[in-house]
Amino acid sequence: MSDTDELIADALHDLAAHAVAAPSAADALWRAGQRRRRLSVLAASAAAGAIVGALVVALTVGGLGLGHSGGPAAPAPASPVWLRAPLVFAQVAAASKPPCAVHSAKVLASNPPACLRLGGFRMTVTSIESARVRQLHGENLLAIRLAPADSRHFATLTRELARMHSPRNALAMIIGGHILAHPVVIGAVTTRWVEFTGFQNRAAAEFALRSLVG
Amino acid sequence: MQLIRLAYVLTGDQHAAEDLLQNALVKAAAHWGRIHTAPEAYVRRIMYREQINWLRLRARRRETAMAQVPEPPAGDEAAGVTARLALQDALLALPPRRRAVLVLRYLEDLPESQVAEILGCSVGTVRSQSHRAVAQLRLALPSLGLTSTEVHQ
Repeated sequence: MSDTDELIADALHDLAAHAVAAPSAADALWRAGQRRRRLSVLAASAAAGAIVGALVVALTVGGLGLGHSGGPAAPAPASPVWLRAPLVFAQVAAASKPPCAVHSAKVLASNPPACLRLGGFRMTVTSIESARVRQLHGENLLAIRLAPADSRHFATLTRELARMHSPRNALAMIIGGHILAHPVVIGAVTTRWVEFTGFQNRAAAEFALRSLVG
Repeated sequence: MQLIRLAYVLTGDQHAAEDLLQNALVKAAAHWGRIHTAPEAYVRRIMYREQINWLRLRARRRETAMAQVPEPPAGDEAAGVTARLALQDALLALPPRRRAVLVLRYLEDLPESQVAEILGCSVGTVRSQSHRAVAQLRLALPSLGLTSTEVHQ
């Protein structure tokens, strides 16, 4: 196999790895169908439903957190919601205790306070499908539904960061030049809903929402 | 490879992949008596053909989804990551038939004759589609240094 062949094969395998695996329930239904040599339409639909139902939590982080889930139930948006300022996700290349040295390339972050140098691996989101504040177990969450293309990049970004060592496995979330949070990524976020947690109260979460979408 | 992973590579979207797989399973279920000896191969074939036909129709009336390429990296491992992302984007931007040919050749590792049989075309078409796909990738990503590749039986 040539270098080109290997590059293409690797990229295709990477893409295949983005898929959320079908749950064992679906596999079991499929195997049962093979055993019986008879698979009803109802069973096939049930198997597919189980696949959809598998799109659930795989990532949590400490402190101000970044996680994902099947997301709050929301109607499919008809058009993109343009952000007031770009939302930038940037890898953390280095971190130290504040204050930041003058003339250093580091920037001050909060939640928790830190002096960060940002890495070049980043992505910028200028529009989303929807955003809302919601409560879960008393926690105020800012939930953002990414567009499909952004979601795919975010999955790749978080998957790659999760493989790296501290502090390069942290992801700074920057809104309007302010680092909102820099959680550690411990797994790929593969769904389109991304949830930011750790706000002190609902007002703080809603302020973050307004800073995003006005 | 799991069927859902194959569906994802063909569609580039988790939800579309689930739809594609669900439709293929429903169609397979309707013909279970005929296909029960090799159901998975049948489902795969449905997925390839449905995706090609669906995208062919859709391409005429929708805007092309231009995925955002992450901004240039600072260096070290980030450079490799970005290059891989760019190649993945380029693969997803390929026309559906060309992408399907590459998936069958490089991901499923099937010979040209079998690729042609699955896609319902000639071996010559498989060769030309594969050659054009690699050429398109090379054009989109000159920095990756993709070289011309020979497609072997």
